[in-house]
Amino acid sequence: MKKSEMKKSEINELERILANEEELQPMTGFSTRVMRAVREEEAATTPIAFPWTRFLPGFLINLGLLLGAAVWMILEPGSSSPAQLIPAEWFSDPQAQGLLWVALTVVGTGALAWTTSRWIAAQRTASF
Amino acid sequence: MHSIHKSPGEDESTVDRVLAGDIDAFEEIVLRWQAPLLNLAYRFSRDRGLAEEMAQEAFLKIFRSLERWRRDAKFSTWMFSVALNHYRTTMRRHIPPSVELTELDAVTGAGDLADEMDAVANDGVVRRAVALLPAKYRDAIVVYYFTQQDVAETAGTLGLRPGTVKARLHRARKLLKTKLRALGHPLAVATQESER
Repeated sequence: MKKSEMKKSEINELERILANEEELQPMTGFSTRVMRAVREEEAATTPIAFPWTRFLPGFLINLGLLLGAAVWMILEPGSSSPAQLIPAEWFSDPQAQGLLWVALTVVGTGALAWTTSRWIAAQRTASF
Repeated sequence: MHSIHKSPGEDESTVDRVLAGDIDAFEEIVLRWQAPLLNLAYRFSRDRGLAEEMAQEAFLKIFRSLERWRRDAKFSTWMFSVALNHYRTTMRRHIPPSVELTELDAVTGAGDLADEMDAVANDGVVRRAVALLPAKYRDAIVVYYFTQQDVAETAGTLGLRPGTVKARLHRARKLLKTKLRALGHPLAVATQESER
């Protein structure tokens, strides 16, 4: 046999062996196991959607207040310090003004914590 | 033999449903492609249990990255390339079943495989020898024969140009021949004797 012919037959033999491989069939329940893993993965990784509908109104109100305060301060040059945003006649005592700010901060933080916890509880209920 | 050429339209509509939130629709993809993905995994691992595990993980990866399928490639080509990447990574951590000369000598006694092994066993040696090729040649051979000798499909799956695939196949066959000769495989031995 010629050398080139032998090489060709050798390649043909390799082709035959590599191309004709017996096909394996998946074990019973393979697709069920895959789908179980897919569902577990989906349940574990579903991201909590950002609550734009709740965030935007608050954000816009705060932005409006901030802009309003800025405009007010520009129109009233003598009122550049935040403490002076409160009319002076409300409190003649500077300590009372400080207390008002502290109270507002505590109330604001409490409201934020309450809203957040309610929102998380609602998301958990929805996911089960 | 399994068919890797299925209706692309079916895949596309199923993927659309999964992406729209119908997770159960993914089972259609699993049922349609479980045999090809399992067989591709087996051609890398030569271990049935490991192949099932690899195929299951590949489906999870495909599910996770469905959104990244750009529709310029066939779903099957994209899916096989995702699976292939996973199989490669897994195989880096697993040593494929060895067909080293010393092991075959121990099995066959004198190392004369032509007398000792039947045709089925010889075919098995060739297939396991493929798993021992350097990764880039192994991948070319495995995917080429898996895609039923479709160079374009192989190139798409491997992310290579068809010319590169052909060059790697040529080199892979040469390396395979050298390895089989070292193992005393009758196919390579016959060639060697005729060349003298």
